[in-house]
Amino acid sequence: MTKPSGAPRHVRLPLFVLVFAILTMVAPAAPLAGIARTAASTARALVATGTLDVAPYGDAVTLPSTVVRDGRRRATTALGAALALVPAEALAVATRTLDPQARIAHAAEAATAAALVSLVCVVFFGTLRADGLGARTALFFALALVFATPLVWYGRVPDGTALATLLLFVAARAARAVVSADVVGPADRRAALALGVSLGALVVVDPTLLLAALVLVAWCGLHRFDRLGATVAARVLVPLAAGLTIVAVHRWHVGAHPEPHGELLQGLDGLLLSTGKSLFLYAPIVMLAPPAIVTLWRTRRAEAQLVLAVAAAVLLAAAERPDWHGDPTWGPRRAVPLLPLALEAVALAWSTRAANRRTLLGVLTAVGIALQTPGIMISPSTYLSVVTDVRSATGAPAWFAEVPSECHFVPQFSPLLGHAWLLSHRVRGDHHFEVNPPYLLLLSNPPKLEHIWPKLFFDWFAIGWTPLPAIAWLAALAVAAAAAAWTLRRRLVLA
Amino acid sequence: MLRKALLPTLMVACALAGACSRAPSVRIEGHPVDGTRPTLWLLRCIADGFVAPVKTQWKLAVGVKPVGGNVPLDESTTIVQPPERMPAWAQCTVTGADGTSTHAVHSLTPIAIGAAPTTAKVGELLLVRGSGFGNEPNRGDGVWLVPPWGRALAADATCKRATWSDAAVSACVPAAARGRTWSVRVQSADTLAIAPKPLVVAP
Repeated sequence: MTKPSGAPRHVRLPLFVLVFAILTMVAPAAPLAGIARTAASTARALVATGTLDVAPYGDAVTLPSTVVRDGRRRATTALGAALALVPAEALAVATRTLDPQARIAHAAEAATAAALVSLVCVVFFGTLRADGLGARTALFFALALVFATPLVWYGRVPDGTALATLLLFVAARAARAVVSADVVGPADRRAALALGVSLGALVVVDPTLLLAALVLVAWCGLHRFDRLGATVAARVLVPLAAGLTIVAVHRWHVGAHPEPHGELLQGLDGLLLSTGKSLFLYAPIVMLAPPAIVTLWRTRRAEAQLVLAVAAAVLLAAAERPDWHGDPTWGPRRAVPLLPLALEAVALAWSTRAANRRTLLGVLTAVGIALQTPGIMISPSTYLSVVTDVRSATGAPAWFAEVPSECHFVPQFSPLLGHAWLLSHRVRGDHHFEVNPPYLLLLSNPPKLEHIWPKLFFDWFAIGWTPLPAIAWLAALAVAAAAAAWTLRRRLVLA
Repeated sequence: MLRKALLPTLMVACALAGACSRAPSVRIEGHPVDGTRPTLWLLRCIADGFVAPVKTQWKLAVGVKPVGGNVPLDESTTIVQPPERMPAWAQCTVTGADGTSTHAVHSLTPIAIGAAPTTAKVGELLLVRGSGFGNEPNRGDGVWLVPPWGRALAADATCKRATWSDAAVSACVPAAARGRTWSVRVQSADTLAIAPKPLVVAP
């Protein structure tokens, strides 16, 4: 097993700047919704009042995962995501009078998510290089991870998914370093501390990932049991226990109710096979992961075990939740943290394959990029409200009322189709939504939906800005991206 | 060593997952169903800490109709249609196998404060008018005085003339509220309404 090391220093910065600039250029216009709004409101409450009280910013519907206790509404989760947003919200509070429409605040929130996904990209690139892949192959997979999977959407919306993805991947990388260390030394202890800190932070960011954290600890224990020192074990377990304590104290403080349980099989079906949320549909390149893991099992069995065990832990914990879908978001939010691990397996197994297999990789990457485009250009909240309007227009308003996520199991309501359909109407300026909608097979007399036109805007921040600042900001980002791309190319060629 | 350390970690995880036993409690999560005319409400009765199997029974205010005709009112989730322009509520009673029984009430009108005093003295009755407060308070419900920084105070609901109805709630200003400015809030069944203006309590 190759001992993981960082990306070459001279490549990290231009790669980070390139991805960050591109993601910031496609930052959203739609206001935050769902858990992202809860996290941002918590961060704003921390900055403005020093409390976790989000009552002034919304109610139970607009701020999911919140509870009321002692006259205050507080989030039961997303604490890590909120802490990551504190700088952005501090900027928002400081510029409130200067920027009444909160454009700077919105840009800062999006930039936080972009920075985190850019970090994921840099760490992923470094890991692939340490795995022995060539610079160009590693760069291809690193960019595919960001732009050919739903991760690109989470690089625009700061809901904690990007942070969880980063921490889980860093933890997995550190776990491999701990296991591969031959002797106990300073580097080994550093790796153990990195594992512990990333796992502790991971459970604070998303307590659902506790099972994955425990699986990583168990994997380390299993593969290093015979030479496990107390120092290394303490460096792993103490930060993890600290993270768990923070979660427990936070939940006790806010008066969180016990987590509800959903239907495990429905969740697994939804995350893996459904037409509305399948990981394989939203990130087609991940279809190559199962055969890649089979190959990996023969050559690097311990790493294959790690990927399988962590994937099972993430998927089971997510599927067991009633909100396994994580809406309103693009793609299977709760399965997104798996993407780097799955794609690393693909990279390891497929980079040495024949040219025709590499063509398949290229095609799946291109399809992945094409699929993300409508997801970025139309807000998921807009499409879900259209589904609600269609449901209401059928005359059976209680349809899906109990479990709105059931629409993800109806192919005609898949957001992949729905977003593309709405985008085509927006591009053509076509108001006739009753003509050939994707759900025509289900409704012989589709509703006109004329009232959705004002809600149907391109989800791009520049639409809402006045032209001059928007052009200046976009030009600055484009120059930064071009300079980073040029530097990256030059340094990779020289390398 | 690792095996020893894993045990406490797993125990904390179990505690976090809610595996520890709790006192029996019931709450209702309710919200209007998007896009429905007339508005329908989705209600979920969530019980915790009862000895299984549990029995659930809904009781609806006059004029509230369950959607779907003569559907049994003994499932944990139900959809109802409240009457228009009339306060309404739903009550869920849960009984455990050992006979323990508790209930919770949820208003079927969105909670809002219409009027609340902006000045008061300690001990004075605080009358808050609005809608959606429910016909009776659940555990933890009441009028709350929340400062910009620091601990929130519950207004005294045990004082003389303190009342609770769907459209008005009254309670007395506690002594600890003296000389400060507070946000007045009404908490009812996991929902919260905030008074538009703050309350200044005289020194």
